[in-house]
Amino acid sequence: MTARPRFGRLRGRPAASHRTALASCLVLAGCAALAGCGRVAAPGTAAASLVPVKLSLATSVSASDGADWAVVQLGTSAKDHNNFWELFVRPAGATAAWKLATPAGVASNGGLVAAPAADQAGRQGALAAGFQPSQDLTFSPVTATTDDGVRWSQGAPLAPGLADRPDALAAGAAGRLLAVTRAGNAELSTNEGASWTKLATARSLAATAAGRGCRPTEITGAALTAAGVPVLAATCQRPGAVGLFAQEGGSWRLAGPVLPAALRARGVSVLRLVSAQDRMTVVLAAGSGADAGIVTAWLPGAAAANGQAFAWQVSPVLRASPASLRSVAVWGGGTVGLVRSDGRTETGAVLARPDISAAGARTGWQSLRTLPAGTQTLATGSAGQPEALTAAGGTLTIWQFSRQTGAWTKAQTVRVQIPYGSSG
Amino acid sequence: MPGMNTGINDTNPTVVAAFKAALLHQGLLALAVLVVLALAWVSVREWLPSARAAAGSAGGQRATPEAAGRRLLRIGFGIVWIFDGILQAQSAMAVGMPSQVLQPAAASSPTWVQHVMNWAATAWSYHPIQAGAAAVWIQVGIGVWLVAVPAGRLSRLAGLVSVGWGLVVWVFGEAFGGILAPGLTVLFGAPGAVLFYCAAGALVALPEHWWRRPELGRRILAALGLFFVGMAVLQAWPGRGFWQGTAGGHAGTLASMVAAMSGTSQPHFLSSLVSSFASVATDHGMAVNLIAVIAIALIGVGLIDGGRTGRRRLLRPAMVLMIVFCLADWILIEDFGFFGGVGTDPNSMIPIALLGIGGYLALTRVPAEQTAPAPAVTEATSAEPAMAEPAVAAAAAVARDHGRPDLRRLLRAFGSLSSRTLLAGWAVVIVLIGAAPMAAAQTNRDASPIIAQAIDGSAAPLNFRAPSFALTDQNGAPVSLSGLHGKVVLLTFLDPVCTSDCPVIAQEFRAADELLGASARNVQLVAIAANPVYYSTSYLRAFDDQERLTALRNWLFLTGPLSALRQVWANYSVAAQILPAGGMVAHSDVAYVIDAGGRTRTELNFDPGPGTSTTIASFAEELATAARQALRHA
Repeated sequence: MTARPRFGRLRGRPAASHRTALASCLVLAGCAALAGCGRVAAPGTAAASLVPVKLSLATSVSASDGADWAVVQLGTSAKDHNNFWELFVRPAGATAAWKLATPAGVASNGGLVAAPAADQAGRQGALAAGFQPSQDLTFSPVTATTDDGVRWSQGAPLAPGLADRPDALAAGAAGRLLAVTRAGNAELSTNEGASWTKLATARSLAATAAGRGCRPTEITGAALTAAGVPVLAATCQRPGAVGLFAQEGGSWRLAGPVLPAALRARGVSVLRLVSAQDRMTVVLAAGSGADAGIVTAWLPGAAAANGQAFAWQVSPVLRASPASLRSVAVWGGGTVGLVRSDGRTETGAVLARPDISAAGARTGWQSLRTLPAGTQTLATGSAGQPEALTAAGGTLTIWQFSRQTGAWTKAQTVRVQIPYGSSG
Repeated sequence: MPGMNTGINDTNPTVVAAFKAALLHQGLLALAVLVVLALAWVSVREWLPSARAAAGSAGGQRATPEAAGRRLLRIGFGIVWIFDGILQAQSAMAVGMPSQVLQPAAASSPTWVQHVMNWAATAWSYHPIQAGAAAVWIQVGIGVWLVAVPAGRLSRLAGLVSVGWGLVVWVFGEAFGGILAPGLTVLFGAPGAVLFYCAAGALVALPEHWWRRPELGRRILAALGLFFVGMAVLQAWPGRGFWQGTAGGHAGTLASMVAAMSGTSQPHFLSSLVSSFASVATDHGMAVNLIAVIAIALIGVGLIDGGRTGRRRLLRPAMVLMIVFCLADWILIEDFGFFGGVGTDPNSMIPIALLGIGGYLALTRVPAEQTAPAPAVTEATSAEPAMAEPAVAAAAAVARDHGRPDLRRLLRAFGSLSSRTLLAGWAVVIVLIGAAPMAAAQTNRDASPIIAQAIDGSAAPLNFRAPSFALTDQNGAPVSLSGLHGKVVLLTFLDPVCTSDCPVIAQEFRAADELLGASARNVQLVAIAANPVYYSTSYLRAFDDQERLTALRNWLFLTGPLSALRQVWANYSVAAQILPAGGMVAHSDVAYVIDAGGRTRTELNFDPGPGTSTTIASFAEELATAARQALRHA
């Protein structure tokens, strides 16, 4: 028998329509719930008083023997581990050129930090270098040279690895090393890195009398004075406090400079803390938005070495948003070079090293309206003129700035045989 | 999620070859079972005519036609299951399923869903061949089962099995159909195609008399209508990105989904078609969504009305609209659902259309069950007198069998089975052929070594005296190979500041040690430093801490003067080359298995590949197996 389709009889039960209505409500409620699952939460709108600054590891420093060192990222994609952080050195001397000096034996994809020894006695030109952890490597190999990178000696590994900051490693007199780790600890070595001991944490600093004036949340950098006094940079929760802690007599004290009135009572970030040649240099950012400013302060080496009060000389304020900063270099014992970027173009500023032995000596920020495209950091030329370091693939290009013409000219090209694929 | 990705290419030739071989073997086995069953069945019926007669009389007892709606769902979803099974046989499935299907499905779901999915993905990637083949045969088997058996308990059981496997696929394969993830839309298959398979299976599993009344059809249509209305509301909900063709300079939700589909591997004209629609959705996002919302809502209202009242006035146009909508969505948005090498089903629109049509057909009242007028006897006496004899003989045979050995009764029962029942039995065997090896593999939590072999090839068996060495361990204690005699030595060369391979190899050694269990006390794990710059004991200890090797009592990391290390590297043909400019030291990834007598038994190329949890487990299994073999040599 073949059945023809026909419709069933309508049984008009009132309860059926109620059930349908109930089911409809349930469906709508379910839809609302499901739609809610798909909504994206609006980003927070609370304004932060302190803009977190993430500086690149690309920078340059000067060693005590007059050699200049630069850390620059070459290669290609960091995602594929084909970026390679390289260390370049230009030995002292008017005719010297930049050359590759990256320590061998370990992958540099995670980053590289270089720390000139703040050493007044001997060990001229000593520089320590530490490798950032990358991929499955969680500790940092540490190495040092005293002959402009011709030979390197290996210290003990630092675990956990170095913090992702350009001042995560500092070198001082008599083989002293000070490091900031990814765990937020400050670790001290008195035997060229053969062993490390924990010196401080943000929490231990906060527990001190000095810490209460800062309420530190994170240790961001380290330096050793020429006399070997550990100085730690920290981010303070307390507005207006400069997070610089110096260890003296077994206790910590706040040792930062007094900020210009225009920047007081604002959140302060320590951008760089470098001790080299005859002085310690600190670069600070304060505030955010239009009121933000950047200042540099210098401390004569002799003052710190003798345990005197930290009498800083403070620069004029550069009105600039810290968020735009990409690199801060400190060379020549205190000259500062900034690289700023708006995402499309780079601009720069240079603050010349003042003669701080002369009372009342002044200096000012010199704006560099344009930088060569892709400038990673600034350095100083042999004649003191600014240099811009750019990298493309395996080529480092050094550009020199002419104060007369205001133009950049290509001064040197260093081609590096990048071992692509070696770290994947 | 760690288990989602084996890290090797989906079309890795070793895995693909093993997958195809497994499918071929299991297919031949299924075919052999069918042939044996058929031969046995025919033989029994020839040998015992009474069995054939019994079958004939049994078949004549049922004359009720199957409801058209049920038949459509049973055959339609049976074919879809078979099609899904065939899709599962694509060569990229064995490796690609976790990374290409499960991972994307879980990516935007809540964490707990990702954990559930990760469990399934890990189980799959640890046994890719068995899992891939199981999916093929289970789905083909369910499909054959549904198609072959039109009525009775076996048919309803097929529906239940379809529900069970469908739920497994919905939860573990589709991340609950993505209902807990953002961007849920019926246009892209929400709430999961296989959920409709489950619904169809449940309907097939219902008592057959339910299908004879139109109420079932009305309920199906009403439920489907509610589903459509709900999906229309969801589609119209503001803030979900469907009303915008572009947002923030990027394609809107619908346009970006369609554009992503057009990027899958498929014939050019199809990708052009889908790509064109993506452009339309980008340029006229609001209009496209408005049309979609209205269409979905109209379908829903029409189906609900048809379900409530049974009237055709709204239902028929709604049915036509539903079929047109489903086809348009299937082609333009779902892009047929199965292209790209790892497509597992035709997506949701075909199942939805089948369900809707099935519900529509079920509105038809089917005549009450009739008992056929004893065809074997009446027809035989009137038209075919010869047919009466077997029936009588069957009755006589049954009477004779009473008290006879069981074998003969069993044979008679077997011979009296219908061909459809026989086919259903074969379908069950097909399911078991796939499921049994997978179930057996699941009892073994160790990964299959096939992944390791896919990366590095098979181990090379050797038999020569291992070169001696005398070095110091990570704590400065002297160690020599001769001092380790009496134990099987698993030897490798590691760079303590290596960022990629060496930590993974160390994990593979640690995992192999766990696999060896009690046997590990007779096995010594040994690594020799393979970095000419960083080889001091402090770096070896840092590496041990990093890889949590310090807890292993049978772990040694050896070093020594550079000259001694260079000699060992040369003896074992290990390169350790310093690369310039921040490159990691290039060294050989190799492992040797040295037996208790100091003879090298196996050399394993131990480049660990991507270092996923699956590859680590697979290499560990390969290493542990080689160690067990070396232990047997002792």
